[in-house]
Amino acid sequence: MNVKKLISVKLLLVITLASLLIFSSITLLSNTTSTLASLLTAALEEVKDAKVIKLRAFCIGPGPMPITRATNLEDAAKVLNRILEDLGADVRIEIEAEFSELKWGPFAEKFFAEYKAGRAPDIVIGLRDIPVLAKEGIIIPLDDHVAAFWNLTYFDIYPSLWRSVTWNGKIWGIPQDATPGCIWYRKDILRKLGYSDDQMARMLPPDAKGITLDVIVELARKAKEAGLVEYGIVHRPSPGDTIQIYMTIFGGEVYDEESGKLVLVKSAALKMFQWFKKMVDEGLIPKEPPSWGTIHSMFVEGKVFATFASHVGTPSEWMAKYGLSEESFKNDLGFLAFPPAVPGAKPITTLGPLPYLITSQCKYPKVAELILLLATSPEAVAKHSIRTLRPVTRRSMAYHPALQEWPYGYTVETAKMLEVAEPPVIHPDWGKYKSIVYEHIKGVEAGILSPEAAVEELVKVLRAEIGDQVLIKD
Amino acid sequence: MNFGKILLYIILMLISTPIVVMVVFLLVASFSERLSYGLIPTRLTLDKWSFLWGPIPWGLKREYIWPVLLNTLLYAGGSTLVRILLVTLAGYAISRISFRGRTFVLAFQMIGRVVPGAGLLVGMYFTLYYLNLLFTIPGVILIRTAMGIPMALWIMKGFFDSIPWDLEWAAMVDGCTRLQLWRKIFIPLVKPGIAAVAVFAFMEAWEDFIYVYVLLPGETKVLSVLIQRLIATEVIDYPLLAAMSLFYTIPPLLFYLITQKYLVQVTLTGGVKR
Amino acid sequence: MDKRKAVILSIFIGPPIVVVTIFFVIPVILTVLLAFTDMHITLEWRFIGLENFYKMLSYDPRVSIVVFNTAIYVPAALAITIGLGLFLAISSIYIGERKGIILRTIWFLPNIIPPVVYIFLWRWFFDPTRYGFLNAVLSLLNEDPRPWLTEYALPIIIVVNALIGASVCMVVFTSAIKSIPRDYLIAAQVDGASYVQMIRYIILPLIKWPLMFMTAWHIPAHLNAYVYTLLLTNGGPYYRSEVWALYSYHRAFSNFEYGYGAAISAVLIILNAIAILITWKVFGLKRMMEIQGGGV
Repeated sequence: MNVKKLISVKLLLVITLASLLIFSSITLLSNTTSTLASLLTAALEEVKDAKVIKLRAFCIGPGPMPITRATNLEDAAKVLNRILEDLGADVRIEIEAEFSELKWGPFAEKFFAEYKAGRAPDIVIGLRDIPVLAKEGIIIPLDDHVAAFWNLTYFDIYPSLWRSVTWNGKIWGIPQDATPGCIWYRKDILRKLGYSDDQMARMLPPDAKGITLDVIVELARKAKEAGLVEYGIVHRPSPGDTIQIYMTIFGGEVYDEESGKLVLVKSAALKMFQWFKKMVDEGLIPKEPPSWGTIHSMFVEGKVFATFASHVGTPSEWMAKYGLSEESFKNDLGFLAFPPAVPGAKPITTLGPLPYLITSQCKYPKVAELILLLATSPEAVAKHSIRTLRPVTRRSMAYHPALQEWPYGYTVETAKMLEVAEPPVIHPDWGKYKSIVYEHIKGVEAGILSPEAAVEELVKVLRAEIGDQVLIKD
Repeated sequence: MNFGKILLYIILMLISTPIVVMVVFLLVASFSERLSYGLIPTRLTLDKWSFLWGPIPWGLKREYIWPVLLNTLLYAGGSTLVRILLVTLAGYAISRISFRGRTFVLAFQMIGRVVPGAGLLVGMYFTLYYLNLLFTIPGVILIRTAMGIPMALWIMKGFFDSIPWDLEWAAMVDGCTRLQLWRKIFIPLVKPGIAAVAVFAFMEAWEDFIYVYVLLPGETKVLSVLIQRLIATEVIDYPLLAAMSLFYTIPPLLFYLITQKYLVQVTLTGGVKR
Repeated sequence: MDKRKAVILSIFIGPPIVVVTIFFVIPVILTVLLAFTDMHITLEWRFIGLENFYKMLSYDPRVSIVVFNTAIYVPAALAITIGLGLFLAISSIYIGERKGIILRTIWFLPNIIPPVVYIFLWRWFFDPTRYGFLNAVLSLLNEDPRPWLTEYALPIIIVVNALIGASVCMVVFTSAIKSIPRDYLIAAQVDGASYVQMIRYIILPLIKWPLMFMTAWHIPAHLNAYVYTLLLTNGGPYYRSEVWALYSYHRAFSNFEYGYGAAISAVLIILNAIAILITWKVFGLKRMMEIQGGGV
């Protein structure tokens, strides 16, 4: 193996050093030349109207399903170009939509890395912390635009979604998507236990009004006793917005609008921990949360009665990757909002919204706004919902031609959840709060902490980590 | 075959079992359609390997894996060459040339180790930013090389140290320049060291995700990013992940096996005195 | 130093020094500076003096268990890394060329399998349901499945992390041992030395340099390691496997609080520096740096 003899080492040396040198000089040069080039172009643009306006967009998945976020922008550009053509105008729009399947974290890092270097995209969808973005001037407010086209199209989007993009009195994005959390349960197991479909519909109404969590627990118990399932209920193996749900259904709250601070209600936390402990002791919830793959697979294969770990659009992924058949989806799965666990609390689901945002580095904000107008049209919404099975974001989609067949009509059904969904909690420490609470839930499930001790420790850790940004109430 | 040897074999087999089992599982999983319960392979199929002859079976089925492989090979190969070059030169100098501050130069290399990974990324971002090398390929290669030089340098120095002095004297008496000495005599003798350094250099660049992703523009087309994309949702296609992971591990493995040939024992003849 | 020497030195040593200084050392300096800012995801430099440090020192009930975990984790992981690495290197040479390559290849695999997949495989191995590998084996023996990652969190992450280090050490030590002149070993055998004696009196002393270096390298590596733990147990259950590096990641970096994170990492920075210095002292770095034969 004497390849070395073929290429003399000296030559290799020279080549490597030379290429390093060349690389760096090209880089430095290209930086200079590209600056020159862009100066020239800018000047030219001032002289005559730009013929082609290029916009860049960053779109997040995560995962491959929501690629319609990107394709809808491209389609919007096509529509806009068609209008321009009909008008005989000399301008065309080109959109370069980059679709990233990576998670929220790397996506955000990537965005900020490019923003800081002055290369932010014009449109971005995948960032959720609107207050920070607005405060730092990273995105622009869209009130004028929304007001101008309100009666035309924007009135139709669910109010709860508009609330999720409003901050400090201004509107900062156009809502594109929502993933309301819900409980999925298996109807086929209930059938085996002897329940008729009517009974099921009465016991487990989708809006969860008039029932309590005990109904689910009771059914899970029966299923387990009958040996039909491995576990009664599984939940997320990682912190998530369901923390907000748990706290709320046990009678507490997590956010105080007035003071803008996070909240911990000790009594609710105690009841929540006690419930988890009881579930684990009865063998209804596994002592150690299995991995995501296992959770999804077990539910799809009918070995688990109910899953708290998914949202309304998850079936699209179940069908794509876990072998859920359309038949099975139609007949065997049911969903409902989270019912209260204690009297007095109300049923709840979280919104999980994601809006299109326009960055302040965009050179053609008006054009971008028009693109967003078209990218949230009924047709765009239908395309997105068909692909991802997520609820439609508009109220008047019931008669849209593309959604008449099953399972697409389903997305109109689930959209009703958007009426009652809780807005997301926006607070810089919300992420930490969720992690800490979740860690304590795991501690209780593992038997390391008693529910009472868990509450005490929770208070201490929250105080240490979040300090005065969290209010502790009894 | 004495008792000691048998015991050794038993111990080796026991501790190696988890790894072997896991790799076999990975193999089987890559040929299955789905993982039941997320853990048990089901029906056998070649579907998941279809990216070998067609587009990658995900999303809109528009991408191919071979250009990505090429990119990754170029990046890893380039980084490896640069690092070997720099480190064999410097290792020789630190081992053989006496100058003030030798120890310091070597110790200095370890400064980068004191900061845990996450924080260092921000520091590197800004370094590249102020040098106008952000979002360029040379920038990322330089970072990767800088991160790997300390360990490589320490390793190489050790290997250079082990070459007896007599060779050097003899060669210099014969009229060799330093460079010729380095190239013709030392390099062949430290091949095991170069092999080790090469393997690590290749591997580090190969599995690099976060630097290549954040410090280069757009969605970087290397294999590690591809793998990350597969696990981005909670709903993961495990068999595809298994297939692509196996595909991903083959080049470094091949590279490793090739370099193993360079680990031939180095025999030295004649008046060796220490 | 004469001019010729200076020229030679700059060719040989110049490039690596420059590269490392600019691209590795300067980021470290920047990171230290970061600790005095409140930089977060937006990458704005805003100096706030010692505020981060005040925040870090407020009472946090988790600190004691994190320190405890780290104090166990680092020595244990280091022991496995060096010990197992050495064991594998020596064994793989002892059992002959062909079998040696097989052994080394198997143990090289953990290094090249992508971290997420590596962890996924360990999860498969330790999954708490009856379908995880270990539990499946147990169920064949009619035992109940056990939640391994809950009951043995810390030992498991020690092993999972240390295996990677052992793999690295194996590669380095194998190269080093293979470059020991065979004559030494043959002479010793002829003199009637047993294998154990050969290891103790010939091999170990002659690989003192890589031994020293691998130790000095892996102490900071294990102190700074958090990725595998993050993916496998996330520090759980309830902080039972939370080590300091993961703690600082949780407290700050997962929230993109880079400035604050740098401050928390300051503890690690100091520990790392001390560990490296002590290792050098223990192994006698200064003496090892002396050039035998005088140098030119």
